[in-house]
Amino acid sequence: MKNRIKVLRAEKNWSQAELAERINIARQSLNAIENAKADPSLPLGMRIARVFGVRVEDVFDLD
Amino acid sequence: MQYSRKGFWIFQAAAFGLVALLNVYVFWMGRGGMLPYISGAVLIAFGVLSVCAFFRLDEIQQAEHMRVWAHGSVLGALGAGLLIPFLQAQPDLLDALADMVHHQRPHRPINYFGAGFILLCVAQVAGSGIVYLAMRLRRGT
Repeated sequence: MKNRIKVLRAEKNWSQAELAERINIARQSLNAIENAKADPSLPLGMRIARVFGVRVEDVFDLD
Repeated sequence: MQYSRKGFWIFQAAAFGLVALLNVYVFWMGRGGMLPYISGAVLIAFGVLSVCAFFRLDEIQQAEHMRVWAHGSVLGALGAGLLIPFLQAQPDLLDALADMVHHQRPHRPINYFGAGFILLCVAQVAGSGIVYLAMRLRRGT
């Protein structure tokens, strides 16, 4: 699943560690999600979208 | 359950610390008649602490742990199964394994069962370690 986390993170000027702390997951896990090596659950996906203030479909997209 | 890196390591350290304490106990006190009961209690506590540690991981780490244990357990069970021809060829090896549980021969069936159980557990932990390393290497981290 493709995602725009890196772009949204850059817009907010957040590091991976900062975002990981905000959504309460490990930095390594966020890195795996960001690089599409792992897919988050729906609640986690919604948490990610919420911290960016956007909709889930603005963050994630099917390949 | 909330993700907590510190919580995970506390529970994990407690689990492995208990196993280390058991080894220290065996080293200093020898293998008394209470050892099977103490070992059983330590095994249960190890399991409970490990489950507590697991629930301190985030969902991505939990999924990875489950994959590692699922594949590692199968690998370990298959690896332990490969020992069967060796054990048939060298019956002394089977008694040597049972010595781990109870060092006075002749062994009772429960001693062989205990040895097999320990062997399977160790093989599954080793298998999980191999799968974990393989996953890390494939991911390049």
